[in-house]
Amino acid sequence: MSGRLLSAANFILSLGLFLLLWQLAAAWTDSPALPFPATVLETFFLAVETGELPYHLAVTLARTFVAFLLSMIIGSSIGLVMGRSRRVDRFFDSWLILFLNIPALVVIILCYIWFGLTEVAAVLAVSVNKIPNVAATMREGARALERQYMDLALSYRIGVWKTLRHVILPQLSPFFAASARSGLALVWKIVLVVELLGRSNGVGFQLHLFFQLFDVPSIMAYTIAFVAVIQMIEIFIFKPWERHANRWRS
Amino acid sequence: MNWLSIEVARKRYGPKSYGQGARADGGGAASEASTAVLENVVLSIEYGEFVCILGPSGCGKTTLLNLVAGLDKNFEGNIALRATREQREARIGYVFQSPALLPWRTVGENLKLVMRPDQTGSGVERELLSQMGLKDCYDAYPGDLSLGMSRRVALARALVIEPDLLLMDEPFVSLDESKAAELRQLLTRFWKARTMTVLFVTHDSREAIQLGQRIIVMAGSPATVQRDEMVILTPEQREDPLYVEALRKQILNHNRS
Repeated sequence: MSGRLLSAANFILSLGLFLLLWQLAAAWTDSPALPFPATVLETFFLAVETGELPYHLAVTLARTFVAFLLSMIIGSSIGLVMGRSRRVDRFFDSWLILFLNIPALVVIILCYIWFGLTEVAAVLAVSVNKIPNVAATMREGARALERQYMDLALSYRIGVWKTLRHVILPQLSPFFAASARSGLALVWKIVLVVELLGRSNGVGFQLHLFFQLFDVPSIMAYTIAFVAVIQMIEIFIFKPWERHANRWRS
Repeated sequence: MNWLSIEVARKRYGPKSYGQGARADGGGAASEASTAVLENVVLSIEYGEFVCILGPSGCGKTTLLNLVAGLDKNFEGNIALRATREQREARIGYVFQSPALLPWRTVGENLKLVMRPDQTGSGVERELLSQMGLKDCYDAYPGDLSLGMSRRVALARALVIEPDLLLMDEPFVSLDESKAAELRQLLTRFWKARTMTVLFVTHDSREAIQLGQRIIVMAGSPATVQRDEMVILTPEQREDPLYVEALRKQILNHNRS
């Protein structure tokens, strides 16, 4: 209990120091380019009240969610196949390296050129950016699968579905968690760029607008709101799931 | 007709389709350098027999079991397993050298995983576990069990499917003698209670004599069948050091000549 109290105190202190430094820096520069924390907070509440921030946040989150889901499913499947079959791995390895190294911006621009400034193009662009990362991580996981458990599944003929669910996926869960974590962080950042370049709503679009208006308080307010939401996802979804997946480790 | 007929002309170790071992040896070149592990292993086994396969560690006994289990189909020869008397496909239970229990599933779930669809919800796994003295382990995770308990659970998992053929690969290795003896008795009890064929691999001749109706001695590189002996001893004689030593001498001496 005291440990939890201590970590709470730690958090408040560290946050307080950050705000203090921000306050001092804002006072020192005395410029609209670096607003005071209070100004940002005020802007935040105003944007919430008008419903603007929740709307754009929701749109961006929806895109993030779909792109995240798509890249996890497709990336995991590719990674699994590549990790299990040496022939496939050897053949497609250079493809994977190519896709891993294409700049996100190039993918986004090409998607918009090929598929138009549409929702599908936007989500696709984000997924294509993330899929190679997921595939590379999951390939490592698939390579590390234990032979003895595969032998078990094969000799008892438990079937593909049960093998996947009870034998393979539990072994992959640490790799899945790692790629989901880094995946979410990457995906939402790319979503903003996608929105900035070719959408008419979402946080990225708003940021673009604020950039043109030199509205720094709004830029900061949106950023803080978004970071807070991502942290919540981490705390309320990823952490509990990980605890559940690791319940057998005593 | 023989129930299980094993005819392995030759089994080589070449590159496999998956696993770290295959990755390490790098493929192509390795197939030329592959060595034969088994050669001319021909055995015919009747339904209900208890057969011990005795041989030094690393001589290819596990490989043979994997061929019978159908885990490895890459060999020259033929292995035929006939249908049971009820005219259904024979069920195979396999107790591996390591317990190979899924650590992320409880003991009960580990058993349920291999059970047949028609067994689900019947509670046979709970009943079997309590018959084997594992009643309190039902909800435990394998990581919390001792090695002796894990081996017992691994045996339970193989038995729960009511196998026609039970493959056992040094299932009681690295247990102290009293624990191993306990498990051997348990196994004998179950074998007598149900009709099933047991193929029991061991490097311990005393263990083979205690358990087997028939002992097949394998040795050499590539391994071949050196001897195929019926063990005609009463259960009491199997426990008697005098009889055991006499038979051991007979089996092992012959082996050397």
